[in-house]
Amino acid sequence: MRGYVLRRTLLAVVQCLVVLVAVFAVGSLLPGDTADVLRGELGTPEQVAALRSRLGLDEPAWPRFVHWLGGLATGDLGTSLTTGVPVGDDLGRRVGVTLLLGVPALLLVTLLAPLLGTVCGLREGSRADRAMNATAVLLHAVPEFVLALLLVASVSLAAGLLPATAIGMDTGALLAQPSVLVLPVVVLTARHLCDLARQIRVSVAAERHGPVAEHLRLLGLRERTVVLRHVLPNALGPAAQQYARCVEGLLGGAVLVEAVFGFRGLGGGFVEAVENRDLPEVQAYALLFTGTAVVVNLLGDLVAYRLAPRREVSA
Amino acid sequence: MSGRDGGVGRAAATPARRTRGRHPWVALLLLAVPVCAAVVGPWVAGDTAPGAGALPSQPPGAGHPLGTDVLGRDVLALVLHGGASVLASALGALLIGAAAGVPLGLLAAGPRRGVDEAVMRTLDILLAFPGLLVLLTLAATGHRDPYWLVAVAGLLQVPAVARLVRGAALAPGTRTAVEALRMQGHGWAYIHLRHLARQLAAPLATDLAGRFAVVLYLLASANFLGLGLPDSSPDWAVLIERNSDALFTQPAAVLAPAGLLTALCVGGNLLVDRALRRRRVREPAQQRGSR
Repeated sequence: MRGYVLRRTLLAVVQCLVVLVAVFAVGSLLPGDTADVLRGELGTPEQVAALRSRLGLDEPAWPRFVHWLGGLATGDLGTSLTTGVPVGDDLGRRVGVTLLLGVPALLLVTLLAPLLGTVCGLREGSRADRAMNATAVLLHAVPEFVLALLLVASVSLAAGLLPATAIGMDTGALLAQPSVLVLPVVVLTARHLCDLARQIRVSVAAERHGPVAEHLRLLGLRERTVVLRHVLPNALGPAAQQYARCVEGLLGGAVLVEAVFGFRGLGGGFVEAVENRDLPEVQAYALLFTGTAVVVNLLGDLVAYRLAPRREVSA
Repeated sequence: MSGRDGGVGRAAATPARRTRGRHPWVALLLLAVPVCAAVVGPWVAGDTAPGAGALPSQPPGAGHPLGTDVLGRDVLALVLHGGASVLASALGALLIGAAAGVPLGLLAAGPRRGVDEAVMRTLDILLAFPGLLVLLTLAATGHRDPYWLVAVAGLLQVPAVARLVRGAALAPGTRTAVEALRMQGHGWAYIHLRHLARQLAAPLATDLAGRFAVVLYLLASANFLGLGLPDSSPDWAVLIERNSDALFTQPAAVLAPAGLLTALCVGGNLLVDRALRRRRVREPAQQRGSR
């Protein structure tokens, strides 16, 4: 166990380092820097050069990387090139909106996926199981932005039940009017719930007929004990990794869902930063998102290993 | 013992499996409509993509069976032209992923332990990065061409493909056969191109089919966010994004491309599910037979 934890943690640290270097390299070493973009085609070469030296872009890449790392270590992410606001402040303002979407979605997935997966796995082939499986295949395959638009078209526009956009709303306004959150949370939940529930269902169905479960039954243990103490933990092992991917997917999905519904969250901020080619912001967002993904994946692998140590983690 | 075998038999022959196994044509039909639209569409609708000409966002009517989009272009003609880029870019990315992943996987499965570790640990580093965010970061630094998008979407698949190929090539049966062939004096080319290629074809094909849905999803999402193809492209994902503001006045301009994209995704997923299920049912049987 200890060797495995050490190996996985080391890998995660290397991954984070690679992200740091890659994010900086992609942003700085390639032709056409931020000064060109800010000045556009209107600026004279002198103006661009002046701006470049003001932004510190005329220094060689290596000292700039060290400087950037130093700022990062002290929590200074730099200032946005387009708005002049510190990047940290911008992230802080947006993180609330993203949490308002992500946390309920994650809670729903966490609660419903094991429940649906176990119920369907124990009744494999029943009508409820088939209905749930068909829905899962359908919802899993529909791209998030398509599902979001279809829901907006049917629920908001045609039936007039729930608000269609959250344009211009900050965290306080969203809390005051939580109905805005319903559709985005449903979209975020749907895909990952289906994914996880299907995986748990397959594992439960397989484990339930496995030799160990049969043996425990022959020993006279109650069915409930067999399911809760043996079948479920073994089914949740591989699901833990899938769950980690789901957290990562919620981040990616948040980008799309926030774009469709007009939320000013982290995903929307990332897209905006990309459109403005605001490199300090892009670097901060990329770092935040991939860093989260790396850490969550690490936790998922460790939990999976703890639940089912024999299964060398293979994802 | 008999109780266990009965259990396995029961699980393998549930009614759900039997009934759904018999009707692949639902999946085929779902897949065929968008694929036909993509492949035959450009010929039916004429050579060039339609230009702006009519009033924007008109509901379906005379002359325009599906109405017009926000730029006043005929939606039907657009949709018929837009599938080609969807299919081509997904297939291209898949090809790149396989072209890079298969050799790397075989390399890792080779006799050298050090090479194996080096290749797989390097690929592990790439595995954790969320695809869409990588594409966003690239777009932020000026790599907005569709080529970049397809290439990176393909490269993001390399770790998973390499892992699968390595696993299949190292499977106990395969390994023993390869060692026997080598001792009989067969060359590298014979072993890899004739023996291993046949062994790997089935798992690789299933994986690539499943990966097609992943890549399709990733590329459509990227195009929806405006990272790849230009605004005026008839690509389905771009059409959905452009027309989503006029969803209420002209729903057909969104629903037609959205429906085709969804049918493609669902149909593909259903077929892969079927293939996976058949493999899963077949493999335990083989294992039991060999024991």
